[in-house]
Amino acid sequence: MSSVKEEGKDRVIFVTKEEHEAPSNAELVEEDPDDPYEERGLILPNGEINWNCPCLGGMASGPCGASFKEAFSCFHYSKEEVKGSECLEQFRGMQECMQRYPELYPQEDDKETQGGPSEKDPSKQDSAPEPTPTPPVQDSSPSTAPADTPPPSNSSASG
Amino acid sequence: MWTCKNLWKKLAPLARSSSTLCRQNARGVLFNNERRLPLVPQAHMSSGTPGSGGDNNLYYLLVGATCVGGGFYAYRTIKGDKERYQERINEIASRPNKVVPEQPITEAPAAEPATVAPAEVPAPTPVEFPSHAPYLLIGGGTASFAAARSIRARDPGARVLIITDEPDLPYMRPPLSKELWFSDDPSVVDTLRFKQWNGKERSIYFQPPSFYVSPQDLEKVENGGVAVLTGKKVVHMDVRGNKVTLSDDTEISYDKCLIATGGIPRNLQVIERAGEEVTKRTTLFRKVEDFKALDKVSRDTKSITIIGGGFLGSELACALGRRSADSDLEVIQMFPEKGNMGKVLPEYLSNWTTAKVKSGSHCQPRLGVAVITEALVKAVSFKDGKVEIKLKDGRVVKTDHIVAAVGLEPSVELAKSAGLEVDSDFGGFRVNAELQARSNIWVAGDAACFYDIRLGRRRVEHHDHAVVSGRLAGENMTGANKPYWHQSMFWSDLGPDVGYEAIGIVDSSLPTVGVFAKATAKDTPKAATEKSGTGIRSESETEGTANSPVASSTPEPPPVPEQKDNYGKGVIFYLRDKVVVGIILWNVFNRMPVARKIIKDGEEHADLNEVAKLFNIHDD
Repeated sequence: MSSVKEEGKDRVIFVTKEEHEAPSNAELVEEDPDDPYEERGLILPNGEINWNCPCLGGMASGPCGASFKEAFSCFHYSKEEVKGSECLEQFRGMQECMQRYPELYPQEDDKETQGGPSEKDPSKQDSAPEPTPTPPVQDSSPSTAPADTPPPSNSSASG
Repeated sequence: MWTCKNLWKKLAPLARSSSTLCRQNARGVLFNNERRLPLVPQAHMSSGTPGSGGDNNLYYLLVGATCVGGGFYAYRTIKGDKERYQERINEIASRPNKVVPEQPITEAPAAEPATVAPAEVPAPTPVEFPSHAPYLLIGGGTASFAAARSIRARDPGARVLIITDEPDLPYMRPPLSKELWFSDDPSVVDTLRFKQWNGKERSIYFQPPSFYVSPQDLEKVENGGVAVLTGKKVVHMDVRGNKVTLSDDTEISYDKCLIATGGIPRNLQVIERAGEEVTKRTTLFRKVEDFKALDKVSRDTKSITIIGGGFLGSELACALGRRSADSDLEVIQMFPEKGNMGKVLPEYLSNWTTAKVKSGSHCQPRLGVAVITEALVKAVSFKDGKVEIKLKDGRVVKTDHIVAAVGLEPSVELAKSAGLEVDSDFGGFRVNAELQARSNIWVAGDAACFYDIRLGRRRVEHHDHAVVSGRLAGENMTGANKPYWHQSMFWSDLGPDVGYEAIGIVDSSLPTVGVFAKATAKDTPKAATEKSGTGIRSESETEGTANSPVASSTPEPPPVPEQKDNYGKGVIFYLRDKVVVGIILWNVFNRMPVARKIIKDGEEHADLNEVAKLFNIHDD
């Protein structure tokens, strides 16, 4: 049974699991999918890519941001049978750029320290997503967001 | 002068009656012998008493004297205030180990030129500064970095210049008082790397140096980038001319500017006045250099006292208490409230938490932290090789080193030259709901006092807020025109057993309703992260988030002591006018979206137990 206590202005209620099993009758306001203020996921309501999505980490803002945007946009708007098959050039460009910054975009095979410590800055760290040659880009930061799937709940508008 | 006239009009009847009394008492003495005062022109007289000129003279004298007295008093108060204000600013500015800011170049005759001594000036070769930066970000912390990223994402090819007075590139602050202390790596002080919730290691720096463009290349590099100017302080802002002046007199013009200057730790006046022997044994904790210094102190001394019972103080107490397991370090925490987080948690919960901190069952199984509650520091001195802290109630604490965690003073020195408003209630620059101070100037992070559409005007000093507000400022600097809407959250762990996430206004002076379930051993931050693997505790998804320590090397914590009321896990609602304005998720994780939704709705709920059901607190 639940117990209610008053500690001055503070109320304390202890509840058992059974009591909380009944569905809640608390009313929540319905979400407006077009709310202009809401935080958006990876894809905006108008179909465009939200480059500022936290799920992308630093991909769109780093030194290879421009090539990443090109490659990813091409993939996103691709109508081919094999999605993105016409975007190989852009992806190659992106990969070339990323290879120039191994610190920021570590390749899958050389995870942690590799080679001379003089090369690696002590502040090396995993930049958000691990770039793979093929889309979707895998994101290793806490909120994962594979390219076309809806973003996880923690960054969704109804959050 | 008109005030005098009004005052005169009001006082005249009073003066009249008092003068009648005077006349009766001093007839023939006062008036007849005194030199006649110059008559006040007829027009000013509101009294029509058939009195002699002497009466009128007396009225004039009384009122005139009051006016002069009042004016003199007002002048002195304002002058005193100004002096006190200046004194306070100077005190803050002249703290040791701090960069002394140059007085802004104003017409004020009191401006004293002070030379800047940056902590570590980069190499002798002079760095070429860009003379113009389309996006100029003042301050190199979390808010600034989040803004830089937002700008770059939205404005392709943007050129962003960050100016920071620290020698470091942008880094995240929470690990400095949490994860870095729990690391097993002895070189952590140099590497500044820690283990995240998911077991992966990362650095506190948001990005390694290769991410950034060098300042001299910023104007030329093809796709733009982010450049960081370290060890430089912006001392003057010319809003009309859209340019800033650095401490070395360099001028940089901008199109859009963000002020993200954060703040500096407050100190206790008794410590500031206690003399050098005390101040050099006092740490004001905020930056990387403070972490390094405190780490060294914790190895070299026998006793550290933390003054402050809020987030930083409690986290450091826990961190140092943990370190004391391997050494003889005595850790004491003292604060004026009745319990840890006394200003945040409702009293019953604060007491419960304090008991846990004291017993050491939370973050340090063996020794624990000696917590002294209701401690008001009266005086501090250095005696016989020890720092002596005298409390108001007579208790004396002898220690080797003090860490003062008593709040943050927002850095608003630029307000004067920039002509920006400073909020008198919360401190910080006053900005609107879109974080804008004026055209082309935005403020984000700890220094921003902004208007939250849901919760009203506030200033928030949390990491996630810095990320959220920085990101929003960046969006608005690139034309988004969005208000502060996505509510930021914060979290705190007091060891592996007590952890919570919170959102909104969480002030213990508000009425609260707490709904609790009995906790099992499965409901702890440690268990939550180990089990979920994918769940996160922080809502801000940029890389700049640090979460609870996973790799804790402490042995199994002893069983939770049987208490009459075991607040193992639950939800606490903070109410203002019957509307939920703040929520704490107590040892309940991964439910932040629900909490955010409830705050966003801003509805009056008749039964909060029903609302609590939405959180499924009994589930893992």
